[in-house]
Amino acid sequence: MPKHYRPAGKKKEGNVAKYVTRSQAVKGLQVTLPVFRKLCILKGVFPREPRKKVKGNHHSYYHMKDILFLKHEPLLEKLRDIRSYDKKIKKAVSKKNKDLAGRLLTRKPSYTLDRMIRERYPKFVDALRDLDDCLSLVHLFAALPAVDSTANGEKIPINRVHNCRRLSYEWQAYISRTHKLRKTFVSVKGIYYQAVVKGQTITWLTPHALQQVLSEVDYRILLTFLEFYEALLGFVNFKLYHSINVKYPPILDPQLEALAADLYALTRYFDARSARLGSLTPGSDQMELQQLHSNELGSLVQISEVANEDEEDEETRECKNLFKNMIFFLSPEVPRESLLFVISAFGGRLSWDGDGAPFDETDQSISYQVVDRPTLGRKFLTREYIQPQWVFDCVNARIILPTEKYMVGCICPPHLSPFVDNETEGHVPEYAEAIERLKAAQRKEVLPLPGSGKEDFDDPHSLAGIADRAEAIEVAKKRKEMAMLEKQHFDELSKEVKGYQIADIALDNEPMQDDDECLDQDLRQLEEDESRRAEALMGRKPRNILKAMRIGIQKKQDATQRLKKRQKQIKESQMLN
Amino acid sequence: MGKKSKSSRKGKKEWRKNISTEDVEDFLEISTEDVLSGGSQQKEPSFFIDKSLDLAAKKKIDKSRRKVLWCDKLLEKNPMVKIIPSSTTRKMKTNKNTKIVQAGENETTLQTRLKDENACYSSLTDLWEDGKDDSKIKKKFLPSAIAAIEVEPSGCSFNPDSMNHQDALARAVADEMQKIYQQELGPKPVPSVAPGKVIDDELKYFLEADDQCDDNEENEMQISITDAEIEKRVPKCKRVTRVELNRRARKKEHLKIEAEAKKVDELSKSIDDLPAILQTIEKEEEEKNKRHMRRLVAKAEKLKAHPPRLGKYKYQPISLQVLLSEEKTGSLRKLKASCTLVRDRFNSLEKRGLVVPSKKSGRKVACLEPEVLE
Repeated sequence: MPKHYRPAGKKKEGNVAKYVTRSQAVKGLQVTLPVFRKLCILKGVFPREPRKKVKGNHHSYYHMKDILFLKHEPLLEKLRDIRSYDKKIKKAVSKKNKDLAGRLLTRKPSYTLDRMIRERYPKFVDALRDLDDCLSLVHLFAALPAVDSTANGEKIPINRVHNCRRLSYEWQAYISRTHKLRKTFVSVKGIYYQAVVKGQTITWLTPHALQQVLSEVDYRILLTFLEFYEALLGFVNFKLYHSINVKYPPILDPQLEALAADLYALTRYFDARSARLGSLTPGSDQMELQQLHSNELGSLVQISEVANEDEEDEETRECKNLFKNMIFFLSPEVPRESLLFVISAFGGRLSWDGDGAPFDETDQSISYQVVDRPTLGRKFLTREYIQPQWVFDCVNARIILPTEKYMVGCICPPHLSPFVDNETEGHVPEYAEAIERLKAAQRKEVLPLPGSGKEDFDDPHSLAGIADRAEAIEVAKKRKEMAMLEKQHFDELSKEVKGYQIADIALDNEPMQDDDECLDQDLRQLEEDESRRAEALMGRKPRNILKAMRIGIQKKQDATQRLKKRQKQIKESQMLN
Repeated sequence: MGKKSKSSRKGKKEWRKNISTEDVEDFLEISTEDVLSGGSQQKEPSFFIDKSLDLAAKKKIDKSRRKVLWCDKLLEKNPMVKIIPSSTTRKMKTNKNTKIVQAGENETTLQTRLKDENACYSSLTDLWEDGKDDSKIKKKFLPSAIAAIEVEPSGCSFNPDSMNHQDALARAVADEMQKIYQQELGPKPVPSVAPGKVIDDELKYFLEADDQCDDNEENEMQISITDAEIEKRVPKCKRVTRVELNRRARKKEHLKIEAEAKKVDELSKSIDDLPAILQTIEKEEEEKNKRHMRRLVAKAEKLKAHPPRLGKYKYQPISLQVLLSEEKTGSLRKLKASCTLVRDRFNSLEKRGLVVPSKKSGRKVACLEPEVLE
C-alpha cells in the first residue's frame, strides 16, 4: 500500500514547488492577467529569479508564498465583483437600456487601499522610507497633460492629475513650512530635492515646467502605481499635518484656488491655522481657471514665528535663518514654483508679478529680484538683480554667496551637485574650493581669533576652526616636529643623568630621526595589524565586499590621477603657447 | 499425485446457481408497496432530525468558525475595524443586499451618501496611530537594492563644471559606442538577395534535369555497396579447440595478476607523492574558491546596475541625460530640458525589478533621445 499519495506531476520540494510561472499563478488565482498585474502592484508582490528556471528562461517566476498571500486577499473578491458588475453594465448598454445602465453606474462598487497600506507599511517610518518613488511619480503626473487616449489607448483622467497636483502642493507646503529641505540640484532631467523628515532622508525628482511628452510606455501599470502612491501620500500628508496641528484636508481660499495659486493658498492656510485666526474670507471675484500648464503662481509666506521651537534641531534652525529678512521678487521668466518652494523653505519672503500676489514689483523693501534675461531695462538701485542659480547655490552651500558672479548678463559659475562628495571622488572643482574658502572665512570670523604663538595643537577646538585640508596637514607636521623635539630633549636629559658626554649626544641625533621614522612605521604597522585582524574576523562575504570596495576606490584614484596629469599637461602647454 | 476426485461442489463452486434470492425479492416487494402506498408505519423513517449531541463535530465546527483571516488579524488592534469570523450560523447571516435607508431620505441623497461611502478617501484617518507595534514583523523581501531615485552625476547639471561635464559626456559616448560595437561584432543577418548570375528561363529546366540524373546514379551505387558488404560480413568460423580455450584462460589470469601488481605499484607511488598531491589539491581548492568569489562579486556588481533576468526580454537601460557641448548655455531659461521623464520613471521601475521588461520598452523612440554627435 503506498504511504503518501501524491499526484503524478506534482512536486513537493525544490525550485519546482517553490516557484510558479505567471500563467500558472493567473490560472491558480482564477483571475485575468490585467487584474493579476494590478493586484501584484497593489500588494507589493514582484517576480523573483529562481536558481533554476524549471519552465524555461522566457517566463517570469513568482514565489509560491507570494501567490498564496494573494489568494487570501479580500481585494481579489472585490475586483471580481467589480468585473461582474462591469459585465452587467455592458449588457444593459448593449440592450439599449440606458435607464438601467445609468442606475448601475451610480452604484458601482469600489475599494479602498487603507488596509493595503497598513499591511505594507506597519510603521510610519516604513512609509517615509518608500516615499522617494511615490513623490517622484506624483510630481510627474502633476505635470503631465491629461489625455483621452495615449499611445496604447490608455486614458489619463483629469481628476487624477488634479489630485496629484493637490497632493504635491500639500507636501511642498509642509516641507517649506517646517524648513526640512536640505539640498537641491537642477539637472537636465529635472530638479532633485532632498529633505529630512523624522530622521529619514527623502530624495525626489520634479520635472521642469515644460510640456512633458507622453512616451510609449504601459500606462496601465503606471496608473496602478499612481493609485497606490496617491493613497499613500494622502495618508502621509494627513499624519504630517496632524503632527503640526493643522487640519487635513486643508480648506483653501477659493479665489486663490481658482487662480491656480494652490501653493500660496496652502501657505496662507497654514498661517491661519498656526496663528489661530478665523477662517479665510472667500474672495468676491471669480477668476477663470487657468490652463493646467501655466506656471504655477508662487506665494509670499507671511510666516508668523509660531512654529514649535522645541522640535527643531540645529539644521532646521540653520535652514530657517538662511534667507531671513530677505525679500525676493520673481520675474515672469523664472521657474516660479520651484523658487517659491525653495525660498520659503529657507525662511525668505517673496512675491511675483500677477493677480493675487502679496506685493508689487515697485515695493521698496525688496532686496533681491530674480531675473533670467540677457539685459535689463529698468533697474532699481536698492535691490540686487540676480539669476535663479544664485538661490540654488546658496541653498546648497548654506551661506549667502557674493552676487557679483550671478548678475544679469553674466555666465554663472558651474552649478555643482550637493549629492556628490567631492573628497571621495577625488576631483574637487575649482568653484567648490572657492565656496569652501568662503565658508571657512565666515566661520573664522565667528570664532575667536587664535593667538599668535601659543597655539595649542592638541586642543581640538582650535583645530575645528581650520577647515582647509592643507592647513590641517601643516598642523599635523608641526605637531610631529614638536613631539620629536620633545623626545630629543628628554633623551638628552636622561643621558646627562647617566653621565654620557655631550659629544656623544650629537651623534645620536641621526638615529633619532630614524627613530622618528620608525615611530611612524610602527604606527602604520599597528594600524595595518589592526585592520588585518579585523578583516580576518569577518566572514567570507563581507571580506570579499571589502575587496571589491578597495578595487573600486583604487579605480577612482587612478582616474583622478590621470585627470590631474592631463590638467598639468594642459597647463604646461598653455604656458608654452 | 493425481487429481482429486470430483466431489459434490454444490455449496462451494456453484454458488452462483445456489443463492436464494428470497430476501431480495421480499425487500423489493415491500419497497414498491411503500412507494405506491405512500409510506409505511412498520419501517423506521429514513430522514430524521439528529438531536443527539455530537460534541466532537460541534467542537470542530466552532473551532473553524472562530478562525480569523490573517489580514483581519493585522488590523485587529485598530478598534475601528470589526472582525468578521470566517463562517457564521444561519441566524446571523443577514441579507447582503439590503441597504439601510434612513427615514426621510429620498433617492438622490441616498445615492450621494452611498457614493461618498464608497469613495476612495472615505476613511482618511491616521493609519499609524499610537505607534502600535505589530508583534510579528515580517521580513520584507526587497526586489532590488537599487535606490528608487538615483541622483545623476555632477556633469548632468544644467550648468556643469567642465571636468565633470567631460566625464559625463565620456560616459554617454562610451555607452553609445558599446551599443554600436555590439551590433557590428554580432553575426551578420541573412541577406535578402544572394549573389550570383542571372539564369535564363530555358536553362532553369535543364538545371532540374541534371539533378534527377545524379540522384539515380547515386541510388545504384548505394545498392551495389550494400551487397558487397553483406558478403564480407559473414566470416569463416572455425571450431574453438580446448587448447585455444586453455590458452585464453591462462592469458586472462596473467593479465589479472599484472593489473594487480600495477595497482600496488601505483599506490606506493602515490603514497610517496602524498605531500605533492596535497599541495596540488590545495591549489585547486584555492583556484576554485577564487573563481567562485570572483563570480559572486561579479554577480553582486551586476545586480547594482540592472535587475536579474525576470522575463523574456532583457532590461535596456536608458542613456545618460547630459547636455551636449553646444547646448551648454549656462542659463536656466534657455535650458533644453528633458521632456521624457515618464520614460525615465518607467525605466527606473524596470531597473528595480518591479516591472518585467516588455517588448516595447526596449524599442528606441526616434528623435527623442539626445543624439551624441561626437
